[in-house]
Amino acid sequence: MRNSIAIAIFTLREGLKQRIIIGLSLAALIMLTSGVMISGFFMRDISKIVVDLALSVASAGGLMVPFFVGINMLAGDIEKRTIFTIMAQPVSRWHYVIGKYIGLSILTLIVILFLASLGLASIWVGKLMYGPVFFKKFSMKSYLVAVFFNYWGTNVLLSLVVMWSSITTSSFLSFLLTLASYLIGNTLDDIVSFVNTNAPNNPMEETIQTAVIYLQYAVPNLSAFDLKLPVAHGIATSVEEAAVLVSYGAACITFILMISILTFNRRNIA
Amino acid sequence: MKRCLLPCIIGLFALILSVLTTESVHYIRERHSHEVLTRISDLPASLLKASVLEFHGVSADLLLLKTFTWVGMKIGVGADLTREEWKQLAGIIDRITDLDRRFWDPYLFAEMMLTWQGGMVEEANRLLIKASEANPDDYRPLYFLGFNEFYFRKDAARAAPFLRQAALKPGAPGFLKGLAARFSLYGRQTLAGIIFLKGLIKQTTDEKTKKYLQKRLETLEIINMLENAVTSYKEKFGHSPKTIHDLVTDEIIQYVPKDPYGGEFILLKNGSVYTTSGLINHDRSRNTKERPGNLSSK
Repeated sequence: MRNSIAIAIFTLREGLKQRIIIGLSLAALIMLTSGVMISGFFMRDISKIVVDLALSVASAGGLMVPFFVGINMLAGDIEKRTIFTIMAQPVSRWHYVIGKYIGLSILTLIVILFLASLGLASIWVGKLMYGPVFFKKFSMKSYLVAVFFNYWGTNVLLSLVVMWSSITTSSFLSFLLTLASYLIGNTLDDIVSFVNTNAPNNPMEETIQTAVIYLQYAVPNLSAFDLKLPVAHGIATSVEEAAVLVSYGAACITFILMISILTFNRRNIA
Repeated sequence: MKRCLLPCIIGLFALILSVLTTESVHYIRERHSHEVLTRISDLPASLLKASVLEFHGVSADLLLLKTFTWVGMKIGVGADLTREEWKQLAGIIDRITDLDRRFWDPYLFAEMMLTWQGGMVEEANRLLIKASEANPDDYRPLYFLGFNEFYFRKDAARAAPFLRQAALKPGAPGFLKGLAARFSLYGRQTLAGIIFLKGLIKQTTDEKTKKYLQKRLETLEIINMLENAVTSYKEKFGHSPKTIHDLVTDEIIQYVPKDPYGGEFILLKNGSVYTTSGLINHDRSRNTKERPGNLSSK
């Protein structure tokens, strides 16, 4: 385990060296400032607009880690042969996989917490500008719960990055597969409801319907971790819901990482 | 060669500047953004939800902002929306509220625009029912449903149950209970309009919108006063006045106030008072100035 922690710290340092936080904070500042201004154009739901944007910025920023830093560091390690430097040390392959995952997960946590704090600052500015009467529904506790589940959902995506990078030979392919998993994971619920609706002007083939129904159990449901809308409307998540989501996320991460370790152990990286 | 370089750079710079400041780009953008916006209403709700991934809330916000801009631009240049555009507007608001069913602003926008400006009470009511289902603890959708039934459809019997339901919701203003009871007894549309507008003005902070609503309120208050005068006339003389000016001749009122919209008050056969302006400015140039600036209020 000590080896995994060493790799995690190394990964985190490498990630921070890419100055992702500086770029993201600049983009977040521009978006959040304009968001606070734009929310003034709305009639009643000013807090909803500001909270929506604050959580969306944290969410979008968090996605940068698996998509850009994660793939670059995992698939890129193999592609550029830098993995041999690590493998030359007395480190087993599963240590490498777990270490990389933990390092990227901590980096994601830092990015999301940083952006969520900027989001909180924008809510505070919004309160000052438009008055607390428009922010009656805002709950700090719910906001933090949404931020946590955003992080938890991104962790599931990170485990998918690790899995695809363990299976494929190029970072581009790994990126495409992660993107596909993200798209399917986020749209699955809506596609299932669309298929089940079976509108008269949209006749669906039975095979497509069956495929979609089975697919919803094969791919992690990433949209389940999205609590942005309820929080923006001041609706709290119950303890039971939170427990289900934590367990679901933990099960997904464990299962996907197990597959990643098994695949990576059998892989010829020479 | 060096002599030519400076004029060439200046010429190129001037050319770039003229291209960058051309209005045509904005017109192209406006036309296309409108086309994209209006086509959204044709998309199935689940497909739209799938296409915005996990960003439902922000997408709904952005779409509503674009809708405000589109309608605001139309009103700003004094152009009315066509029948087809009103339908598209109702469709867009439907899609926005599919993305975020609890988002109150699009419902309020529909209530302000579809009923008063577009004459689409049925569409507005359908959206308000959707709002009351999405926000079961909110009195506002039921309140507006009651208002629409009473004021636009002239059906007090259908309005009263909505208002009674609204009055029982948490945070409902106290006057709703009395209003619900009174609506069951009387059929004064003008009074309903006054109460509605007073509530709306109370919620509005944008000065332009407030001024716009104040003018409408002022007109409705005059109509209400004239209708009360007609009732007094009937009680005094035992019959209705033939024209509105009989109220002045027979000393019920001192003078007939001017219609702030530039029309004339007339007496209908059923005893109610109407204005030839129809609460729309006769002067077009004045009209565009007095419409709410960005259609937003707080």
